[in-house]
Amino acid sequence: MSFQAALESFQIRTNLDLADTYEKLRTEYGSSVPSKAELAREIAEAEKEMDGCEAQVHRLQCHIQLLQHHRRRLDEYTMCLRSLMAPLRKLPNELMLRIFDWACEMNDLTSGRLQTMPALTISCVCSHWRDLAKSYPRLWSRICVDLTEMHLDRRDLTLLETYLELSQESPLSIEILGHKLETLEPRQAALCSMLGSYSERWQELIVSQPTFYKALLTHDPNHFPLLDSLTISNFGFRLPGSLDRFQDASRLQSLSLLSFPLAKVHKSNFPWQQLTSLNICSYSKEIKSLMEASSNLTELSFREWEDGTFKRNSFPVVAPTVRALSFSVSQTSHHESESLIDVVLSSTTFPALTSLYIDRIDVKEDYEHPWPKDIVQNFLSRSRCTLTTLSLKSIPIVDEDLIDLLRRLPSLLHLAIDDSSVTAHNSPITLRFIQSLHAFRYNGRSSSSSILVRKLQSLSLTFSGFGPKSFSDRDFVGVVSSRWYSGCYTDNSEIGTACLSSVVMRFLHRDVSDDVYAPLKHLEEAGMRVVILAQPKLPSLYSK
Amino acid sequence: MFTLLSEDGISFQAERDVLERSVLLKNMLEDVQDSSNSIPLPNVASAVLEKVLHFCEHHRGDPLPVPEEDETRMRKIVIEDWDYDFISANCDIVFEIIMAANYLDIKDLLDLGCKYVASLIKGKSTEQIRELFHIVNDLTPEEEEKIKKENQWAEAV
Repeated sequence: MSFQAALESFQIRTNLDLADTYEKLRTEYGSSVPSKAELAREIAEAEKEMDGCEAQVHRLQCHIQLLQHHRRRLDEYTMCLRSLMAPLRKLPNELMLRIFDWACEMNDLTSGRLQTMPALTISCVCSHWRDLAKSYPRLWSRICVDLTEMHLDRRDLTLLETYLELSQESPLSIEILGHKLETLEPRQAALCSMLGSYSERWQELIVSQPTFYKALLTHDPNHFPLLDSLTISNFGFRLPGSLDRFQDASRLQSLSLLSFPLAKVHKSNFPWQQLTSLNICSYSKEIKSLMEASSNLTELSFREWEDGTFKRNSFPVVAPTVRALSFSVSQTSHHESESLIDVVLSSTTFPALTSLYIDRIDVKEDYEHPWPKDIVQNFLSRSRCTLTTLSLKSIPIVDEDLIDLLRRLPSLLHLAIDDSSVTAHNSPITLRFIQSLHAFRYNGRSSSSSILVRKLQSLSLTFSGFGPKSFSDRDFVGVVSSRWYSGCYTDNSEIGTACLSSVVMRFLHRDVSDDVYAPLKHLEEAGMRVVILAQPKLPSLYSK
Repeated sequence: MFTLLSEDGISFQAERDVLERSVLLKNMLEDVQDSSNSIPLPNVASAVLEKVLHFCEHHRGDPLPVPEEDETRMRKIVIEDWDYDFISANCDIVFEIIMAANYLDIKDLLDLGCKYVASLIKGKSTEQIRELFHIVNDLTPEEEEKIKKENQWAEAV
């Protein structure tokens, strides 16, 4: 009999009268007791039926297991079908690799966690991703090691070997980080040495400590055909011949240093004239020679740090090619140091400057330096530059000073102000500031001269104030509308006002009314780029 | 105004400067004098085309992104607020948007979609990635064993 037939043929006896049997137990004694043969037959029949029940239970259990197994297979089957149906599968390989490329911006090999090594993680997901990842060397070429986090056994070196092997001939981006160490353990030194042996493939190199740098240069490399960006501390230039080491780095364009042994600039063969971007954390009179040597510099950044010293000096410094100037300021610089912005702007002249960016490194720390109004004014007069972009982030400047600054920048096209982490009385984003930007504001003189930054094309404001009354939404909408209409519908030759084409307004701690901002929706439909972001109502007000 | 016809036969109208965010459409429009004929887009469904046009309208007038000289460099994922809101609100069709952006050759939208998906991958375990994208682990036992050997250095902390 088949399994299924046995399941179906099993019959349960329905005439089993247990109550009657109990009654017999209570009443039948002596001669009225049923015969032994009759009871034995009944017991045999019941036991036979019990065996049948047992067999049936076993058959049903098997059936349940079969069903459970089938269910698991169906589950797997549908999962596979869903996977086949997944939109991700439709992406061609080149788009998958494009996504992987973004995902693998850096691989931290010393964290001990697979999630920080995206190339390795991606290669473990499925066979297709594994094949793609392994066939794309670039994913394996961005390597970060933290030597003070490193575990002193084989694993970091093995991982590094895997990455270097799979990166094939791809240019390498390498970060060697960690706290200050006087001496390196053999494994740490070996890791640096291994990375050092690939110097011909370095494209970007960041090293945080002198001992790491020294270990990296064990093989005494001096050929860097791909190196275009170098971030090291001043230690790199204290080692004998270290400046000359990079003399043939023909692609080197970007250099970031904590401080300079500036006196060595003239004596070195470092390719200063190639640099287009320089990021430094100190300032002294020798900066003059540095600017003269770096004759093609277009981007210059200054950054305050805890041991950095910024001293004002009377030596004029002219950088005729610098177009973008950035300051990352902080209160944490050396106690004898003066304000970074004051020091740099009081002695420099940048006639080609078009962009000025000032922001805070750590907004949690207080920043108490007042806005150097006179210094900035003198700097602008001296430089005679045509500034088109100004960005102030978390910098205390009162509205009056900001308006005064904007009056001196008639060429400004892009303005970004962020008042986050600035106390309310030092925030420039006030009613007076907003109203000062109105295109049709009449101050008793001809309209063209009274318009502030009349060429303005994009405005980005980040406002950190609380509560509905902290900001005049209606005035802001009025200002934006006026700058749009004055640019688009008035005679430009007469007024000379540009059309504001982009406005971004972020409220960090307040909501806004859709009704008040409705006019901007019409401007967006007419072609203006409008982004209004409010809290707690994110995302954009105008997401369609 | 020009008319686009989606894969499922829905018409959309847009101005030239909006459509010219797409290199494909820009090239097509150079040959089109008469805007009365609709432009068929057989590879883009209406639900996706609507989103693509919304993106292009928002970025109308922005400078067109230039191809990066060197894409081998380390690049940080940075997504502007509006763009992030846009792509995350449409995350259910993000792959269709990526494919449409690739077909229409809209670099900033293609980059946005790829960056968004990459940001979903970053920091996740293999199991989380499989779950997120409905990927079945089809690795052979031999491959699994090899991976286990590769990863023992990473995970055995």
